[in-house]
Amino acid sequence: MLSWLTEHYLTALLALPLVFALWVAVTPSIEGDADNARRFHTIGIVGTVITFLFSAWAWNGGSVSLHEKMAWLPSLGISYALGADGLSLTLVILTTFLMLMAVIASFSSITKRLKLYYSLLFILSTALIGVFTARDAFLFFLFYELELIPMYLLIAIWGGANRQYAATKFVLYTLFGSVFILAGIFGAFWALSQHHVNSQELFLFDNLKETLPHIGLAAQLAIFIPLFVGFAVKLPVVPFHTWLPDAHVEAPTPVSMLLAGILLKMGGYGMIRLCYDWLPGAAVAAGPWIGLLAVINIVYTAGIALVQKDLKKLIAYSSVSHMGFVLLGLIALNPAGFNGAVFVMFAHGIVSAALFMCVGVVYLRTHTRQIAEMGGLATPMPAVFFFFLFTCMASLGLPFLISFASETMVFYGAFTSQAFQWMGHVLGMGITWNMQIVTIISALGVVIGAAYLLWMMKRVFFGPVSERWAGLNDLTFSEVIVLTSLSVLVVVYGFQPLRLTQRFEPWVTAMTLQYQHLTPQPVMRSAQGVATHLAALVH
Amino acid sequence: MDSWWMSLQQHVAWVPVYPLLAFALIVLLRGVLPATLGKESSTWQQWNAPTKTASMLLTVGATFLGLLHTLPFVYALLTNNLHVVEMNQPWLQAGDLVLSIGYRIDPMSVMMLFVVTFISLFIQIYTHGYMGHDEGYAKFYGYLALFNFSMLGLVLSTNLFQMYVFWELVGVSSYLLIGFWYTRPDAAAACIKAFLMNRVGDFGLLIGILSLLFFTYGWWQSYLGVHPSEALLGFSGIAALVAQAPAWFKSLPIGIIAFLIFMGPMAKSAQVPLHTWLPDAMAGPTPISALIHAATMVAAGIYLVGRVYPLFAMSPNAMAAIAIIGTVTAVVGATIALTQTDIKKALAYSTCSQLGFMMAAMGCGVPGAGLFHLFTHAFFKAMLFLCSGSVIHACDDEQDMRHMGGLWSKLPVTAITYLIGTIAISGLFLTSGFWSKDSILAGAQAYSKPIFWTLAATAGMTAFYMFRTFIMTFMGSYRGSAHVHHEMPVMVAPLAVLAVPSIAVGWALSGQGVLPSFETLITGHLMHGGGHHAVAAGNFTHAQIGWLSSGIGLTGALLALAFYWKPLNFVPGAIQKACMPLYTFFAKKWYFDEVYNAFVSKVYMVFANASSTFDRGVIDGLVTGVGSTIDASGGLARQLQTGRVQTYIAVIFFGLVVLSLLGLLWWH
Repeated sequence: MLSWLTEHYLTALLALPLVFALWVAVTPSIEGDADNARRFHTIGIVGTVITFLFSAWAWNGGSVSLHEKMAWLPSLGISYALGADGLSLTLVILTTFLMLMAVIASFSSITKRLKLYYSLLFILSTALIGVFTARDAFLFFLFYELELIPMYLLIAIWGGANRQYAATKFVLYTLFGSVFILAGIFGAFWALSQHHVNSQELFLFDNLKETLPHIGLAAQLAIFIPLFVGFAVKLPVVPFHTWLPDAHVEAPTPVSMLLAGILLKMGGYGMIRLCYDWLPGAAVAAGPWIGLLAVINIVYTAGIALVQKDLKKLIAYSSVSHMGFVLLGLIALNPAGFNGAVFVMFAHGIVSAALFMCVGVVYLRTHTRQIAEMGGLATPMPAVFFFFLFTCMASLGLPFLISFASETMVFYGAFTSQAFQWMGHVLGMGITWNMQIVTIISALGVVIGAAYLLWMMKRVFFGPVSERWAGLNDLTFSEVIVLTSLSVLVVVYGFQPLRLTQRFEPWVTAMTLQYQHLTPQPVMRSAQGVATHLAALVH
Repeated sequence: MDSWWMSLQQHVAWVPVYPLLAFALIVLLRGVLPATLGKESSTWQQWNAPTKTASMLLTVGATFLGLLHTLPFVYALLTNNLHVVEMNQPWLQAGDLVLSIGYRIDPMSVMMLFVVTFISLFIQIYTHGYMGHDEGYAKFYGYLALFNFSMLGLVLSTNLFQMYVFWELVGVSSYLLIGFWYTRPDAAAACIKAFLMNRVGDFGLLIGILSLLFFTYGWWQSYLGVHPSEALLGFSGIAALVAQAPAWFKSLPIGIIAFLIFMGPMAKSAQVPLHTWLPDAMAGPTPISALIHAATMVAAGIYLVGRVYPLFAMSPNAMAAIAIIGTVTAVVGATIALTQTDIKKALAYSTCSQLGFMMAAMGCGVPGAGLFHLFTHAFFKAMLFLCSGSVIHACDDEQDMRHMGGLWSKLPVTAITYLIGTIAISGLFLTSGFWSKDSILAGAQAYSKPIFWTLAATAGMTAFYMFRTFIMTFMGSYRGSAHVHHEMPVMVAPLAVLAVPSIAVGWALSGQGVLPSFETLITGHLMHGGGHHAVAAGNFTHAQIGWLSSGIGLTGALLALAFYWKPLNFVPGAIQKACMPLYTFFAKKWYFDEVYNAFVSKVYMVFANASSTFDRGVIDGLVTGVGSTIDASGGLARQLQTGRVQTYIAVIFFGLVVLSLLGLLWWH
């Protein structure tokens, strides 16, 4: 049994949540029974704890096999291939951990149709783990789509007043993105079939990885662009982001936590794994444009977050803004940038989950999300205030909290990067567009980020408390558990980022090696060039 | 004894760790314990008071231990036996990026260590009296410990990156402490303003650090073959950087880098135009106004400039900018201080002005003088703030000096120490401020005549506004309605202690006595990597400047007496009236806040609102537009599906006719 487990570790990891989904399915739901809720919550806890512990086995370097391959539909070139490297394991452990957090968060916020709820949550869990461990493009796509169904239902059934609209928008938008991903994957498949590889494994990541970097630039772009657009919907990248605020506002708290914490990372993961790992030529060529998107993502959405009247929408836009840092790290095309991008994904996963938890806690008590209606909430809810402030501090990049180290890496990588240097004329003005300028503008996001979070804190928690809110209850036990667990991670990895980065750093750095010869400008000459350019501007 | 002495030195890394542990323990005691026991439970009721005391003892104890660790180094420094020690630990790594955190012991850090631990200790003792009845007593001590951790980490930094890390952390401690009374609207507004304004400065600092790496990365790597980020940002490496820099680097990049880095100190040390947060920060409890917003944190900007001084010294343009900004800050702060009626606000603008003096000294090429003024100012300004706290506490939270007066007899110790502080900050009679301000003036004289005369005039204003606050608060007759309480021993004892360095520390380190002069202690180290020391002779000798500044100071003091002390009130009404427009301009704080508020509300918020509307209207509108178009066309198409066979046959028939016609046309 144990040897089977170690050999088929990833399959077992995928199957584990399904086992619990089955358990939920065979457990009778008795309406009106006082123990009904507790029964399902218990299965939820047991299931997610076991999945988490099981995934921690590999994360902690347990001797398990992290590669599996079986012929599945050889005539179509599809195989059942799973694999996990540092990047996958990082996102898998994030998934299983946040699943556990979401289940605990469900205690106070989910009260109806628990049987269906937990079934869907476990199926979602499998889909997410599948996305991060699939090593066959077709399988990857299957899991990517599988995630949609439970997510749609989770929003549509347990959501707020406008849940149907939000859920439908979410699904249609994601399907729109999926079409592009599918097109990209078939493009890759086609490109591979032109080369004489084993035609039974044409969707295999390893084969794609071997061949795609060497095909022509036009072909690379033809695959890169649809894939990028598809993942851009998920990340999300402006202008494909408008589904996100709606989905968040309507989704119940645990679903929001998962949505911001993990689902967005599928986009970033896809970009790294499919776009940047396979198609370096296209990535270099697309650099200036993605740079533009990164800047817009960070600064434009931060500005929007500033003026939101709805608390949850504000946090949702801040998520979009932070995902811009992932883009910024990616376009740097150097080790610090890529590592930073992965680190930002993990850090944002933890911090945004905590932020949405905090928002949910406030909403549960006030039954409003309108910032203008709140004020002085710190007085009745000091513990909520403490955790909310702490999480905001983590989100705005306070040193020794998790986001700071990740953003530092991104900024360093981006600013020292030579990925592109474009000089030309736009509307008659001479413009230089390079990574340094992109980074400087993006760094403004840090200032605006502090502004919208602290201004929100001021309006929600500071000041005298009104009669209406004076009687609010502080945190319950289960809420304290969620927020404390997330906070501990924020502090531990904030103080010792190496403990986290060492898990994925070797793989990510190795992957960036292929970019070394693609951006050959020696830094020194370029720095001197920038200096000369600046001098010319001044005189 | 000897080994004990040694081990204190060896374990200096613990200095910032003690307060961090104290902070963590206070969080456990006051946060986790009541949460687990239940706030209403009788067990917690029993534990409540002891944990309060424990919080106080933990924080004070941590600071005391820090001071103990510092003393051997101070002794070694004064006896010229200090060895520079540096330890680094990699903290973040990715590819060629290596960022380290460690500690560095050299004259400058020892000086700051002493200032921070010594002043913190007495302010923390004072806090016991000042915050004794406050609900958040324990929380306040927790925040103080957090601040001490951040500040000591900053002081011990080995490199620019570490400095940036702790720089942000002191910022957040400041935010928490300003917003300590979070139900008060002014505190809520002030803390966010302080944080954001500092964020603007930090933005520059971050880009500056990154630019330093970017511009020097290549040649440094080929020159040393080491991880550039680690070596480049280290304070020990900056001196070598100066020595090895190629010509193109010295032309423009260095100026840009220096100015960007300077944006950090500009915000933290409240230099114009990023100074407006500091006076607002007075909404926080007075002990932290004394500790953070007068003595230590706001001086961090000066400290940072001192740390990377060789870099600044390489760029004459940057130096000039710093000198001018410092001078302008000195003037702006002093003029506004002339008009304030809130005792803490007056002191805050005074701090602003004095920080301007220090910064001007850095720009004028006499960093030793700037740091000397930082050192002396820390003692007397902390004391002045504590005195104001004692007054405010005694007058039932009254801060308006128009409702004070005649407190001399009721608060004798406070009045005497406040007078000592006033004399010291005015630079009179061989007090500590006298020596440090003279050094600055001497340096300014060698650098630029206009700056010298401006600073000299500002010194006169300093004496004027400080004596004005003294007269309004302590002399004349009492104008308030609150019952004045007696002084508390726990609050006046720290005042008495701080009075000693306020008087004596300047003379002791002036080089006139047995000890070496402050400037030789500090700058000997500062300069060794390069740069040049401006010691060009001016028109006046050092002694003449001493007479000059004392004369100006005395004039200011006498003028204040003439204006504000009623028995001596012989200033004609005409003069007072003539001053009114200027007075209004100063009282309105040069309209900085108005301009900023207008920018934020009229420009930025408009832009943000427009973005939001664009996002909802155009981007999302397009999306939903596509959706509803499909929906609508589907609706149209549905009209065709009537289900009536006749219609279908008719359509098929007409279709066939049309197609045959088209076919015929094509065939022909």
